[in-house]
Amino acid sequence: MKKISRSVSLWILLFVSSFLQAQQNNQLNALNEEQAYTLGVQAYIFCYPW
Amino acid sequence: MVAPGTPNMSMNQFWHNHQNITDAYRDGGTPNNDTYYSVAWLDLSKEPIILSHGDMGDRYFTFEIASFNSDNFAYVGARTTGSKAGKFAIVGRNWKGTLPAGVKQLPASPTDNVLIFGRTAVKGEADGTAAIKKQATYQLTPLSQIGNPNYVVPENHDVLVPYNPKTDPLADWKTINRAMIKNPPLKQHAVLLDMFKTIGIGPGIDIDQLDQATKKGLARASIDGMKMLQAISITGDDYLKVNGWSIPPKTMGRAMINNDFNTIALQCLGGIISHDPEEAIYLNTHTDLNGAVLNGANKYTIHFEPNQLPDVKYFWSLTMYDTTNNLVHNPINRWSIGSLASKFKLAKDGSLTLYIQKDSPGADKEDNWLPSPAEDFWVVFRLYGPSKKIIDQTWKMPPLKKE
Repeated sequence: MKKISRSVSLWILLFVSSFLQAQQNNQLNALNEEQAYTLGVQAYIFCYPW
Repeated sequence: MVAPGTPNMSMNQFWHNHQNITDAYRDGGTPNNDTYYSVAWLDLSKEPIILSHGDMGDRYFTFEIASFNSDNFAYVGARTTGSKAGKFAIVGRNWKGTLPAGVKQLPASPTDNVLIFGRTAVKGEADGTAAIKKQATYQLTPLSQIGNPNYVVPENHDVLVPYNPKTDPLADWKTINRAMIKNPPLKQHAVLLDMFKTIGIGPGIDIDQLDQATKKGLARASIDGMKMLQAISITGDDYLKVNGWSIPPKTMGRAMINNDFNTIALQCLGGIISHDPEEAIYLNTHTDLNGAVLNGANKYTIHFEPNQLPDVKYFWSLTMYDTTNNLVHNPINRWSIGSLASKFKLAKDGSLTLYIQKDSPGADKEDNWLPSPAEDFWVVFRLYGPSKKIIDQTWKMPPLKKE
């Protein structure tokens, strides 16, 4: 019983950890996209002659 | 980027326009209707190119010579180098050498690719043949071929064709990164380039290798960047407004080297390159005196008081454009009105009233009529060889008044 509950706990821990990691990645991606967008608009104006 | 509307001329050769541009031309770029264009792309990476022209007599002409970043870096023409026959060396930034006797070196270009806009004044259709003869004297010759009577300009159409934004949302960035390899930004903008490099923008960077998030951001940025430019272009918010007219900033023509990035981008959007104020100033307006967008459902006038006509060394003109930056179809084939070729009538007191409307203002006023389309439109007032009063903005252009 103890073994089962330990493996379930481990599984939950892994699940929560990967969920948080994915959330962090999503946030990071969103951040990267916004950074590329914000700086990109300025770059677009500067680079327009090219 | 490749100039829209310029034909696929060969590198280092002039393409000449032998007739005034009309509404049949539909590639935008706000073409003028006063001069014949002579346009060329140069490649200075191998050697200097020598620009030569014959004696121009009293005909106004100008060669506006711009680097790939759209700043002018040199002029040849009536105002700057005179009307006698001449030879001028256009050299790249790293070139060192000696020139044949009689060839004058112009300031060096900061980029390998160079755009020349030559303009030769034409006083109406009857003057066309004489203008074409002058254009025939314009030559571009590689330095190594000067004096070689058998030299034939090789066909070389290696112009940079932009990537297509309709099929690739990152097309604009790919076009930019490729063009910057041969035509790098100015050294003074290194700090900016370091920043842009963090999102994959810079000479030779492969956009396809960027992460998905950055690509998504860049794709959105190019769409919104263009929308911003178009919005500013219409409202004229970046320009000083006088009597409803947008007055270009004094950095016009050399905005990049003066770090005026909005102006250089707007200039490229409107007409690729722009004159230095000393050569010519273009005023424009999309609205009447009250700020309402100009539309062919209305009638407008511009009234110059007796001493208010612009003081210019060469000529002035008022040209009509539709919202695609092309000339406008009209029943009398009149796309502009001005001091070079038009037969407008002054009032007895020396004042001048121009009528801007879709339909004729009546036979007695038709000489002073600039036809508009039925839809929204805008106008450009060009002043060639402007006096100091115009350059320092103490002369005021009268407004478009809705009747």
